Amino acid sequence: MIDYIRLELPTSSRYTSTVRITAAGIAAELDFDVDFIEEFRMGVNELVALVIDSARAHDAARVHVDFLVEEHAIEVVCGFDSARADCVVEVDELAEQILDAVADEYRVEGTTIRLLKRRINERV
Amino acid sequence: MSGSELSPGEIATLFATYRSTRQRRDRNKLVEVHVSFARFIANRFMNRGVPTEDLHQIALLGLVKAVERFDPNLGAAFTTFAGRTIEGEVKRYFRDFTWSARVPRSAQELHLGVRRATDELITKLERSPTVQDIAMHLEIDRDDVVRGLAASAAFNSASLDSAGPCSSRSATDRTRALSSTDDRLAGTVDRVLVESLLTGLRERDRTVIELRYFDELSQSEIAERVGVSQMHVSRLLRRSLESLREQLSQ
Repeated sequence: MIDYIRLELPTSSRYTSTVRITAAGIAAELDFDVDFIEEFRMGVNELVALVIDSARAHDAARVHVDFLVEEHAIEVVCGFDSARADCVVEVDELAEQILDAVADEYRVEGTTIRLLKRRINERV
Repeated sequence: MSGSELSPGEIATLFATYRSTRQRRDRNKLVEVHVSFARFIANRFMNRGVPTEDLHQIALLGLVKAVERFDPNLGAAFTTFAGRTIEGEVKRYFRDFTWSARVPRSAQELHLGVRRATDELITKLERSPTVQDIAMHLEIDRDDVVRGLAASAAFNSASLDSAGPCSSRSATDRTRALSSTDDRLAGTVDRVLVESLLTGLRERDRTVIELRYFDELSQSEIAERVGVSQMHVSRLLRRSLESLREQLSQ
């Protein structure tokens, strides 16, 4: 079963901490360990900051963050709506390094980035 | 990537800007100019069975955290702060992946830390501390403080701020609640805190405490169940409370 949680926020860096706390809260609720939570929080922070930057650059007013919560993994999908088809979230080198370090998987799909993090003992 | 690109003054200005605007461009620049510093710290841990590349990656994450958390107004130099943060991350890595004993750091532990810090700060500041106060006191992230606070709700404990039925004084002073009579304790003490502290007690002592405060049996009822005298129960309770109080003040 997948639980689905959505946040929608203005493109202001001021609310990234709200998203981080929500992320940590969800992970804590599922009893993920502290290291997971810390890494997950960092990944989500990066994701949201990247999307907010891109959204601003493309004059989008709001971004959305979806948490798809399973017992052994959490997927986060963060993005914004744009009328332009060529619009893509740009991932800088540092963000790439951070995401490589903390996320099990991530990928950019146009104006959206997805991040997947699995429970440690579920890693293959 | 070297620190020589920016003067100390420019770095200070950039930190001040980043603190107020939180632009990732500024953050990235601050990370970039300190990468070699982070590697320098990490290199102290070389030749201990962890590949240098991994060490550098851990150090980089530590550096990012340090940049995001650093408050120039506190007076410490960034390198001092970052050095400690990075070293902490690297040591944690060694602990997690190369040591056999892993220290549990649960949300509950965080919750207890936050609660303890709150009490200490109430006394020190003579007001209810802000999240920022607690974060500085414990040297942890503001988010973690919020998480610690949220954990209390998650564990379904009665709030310390709601005075128990028997309490005539402020119930926020946990130490006082613990040192007062056991009737008062039943109503005021944070159940979660007690539950966690109890794990440090011997099994019989724990049973006695649980029967008294969770099942709310009288001392004589407990005495009958455990098979000792009522006075014995009373002594056991007193001794356990003493031990809990000691743990609490640590």
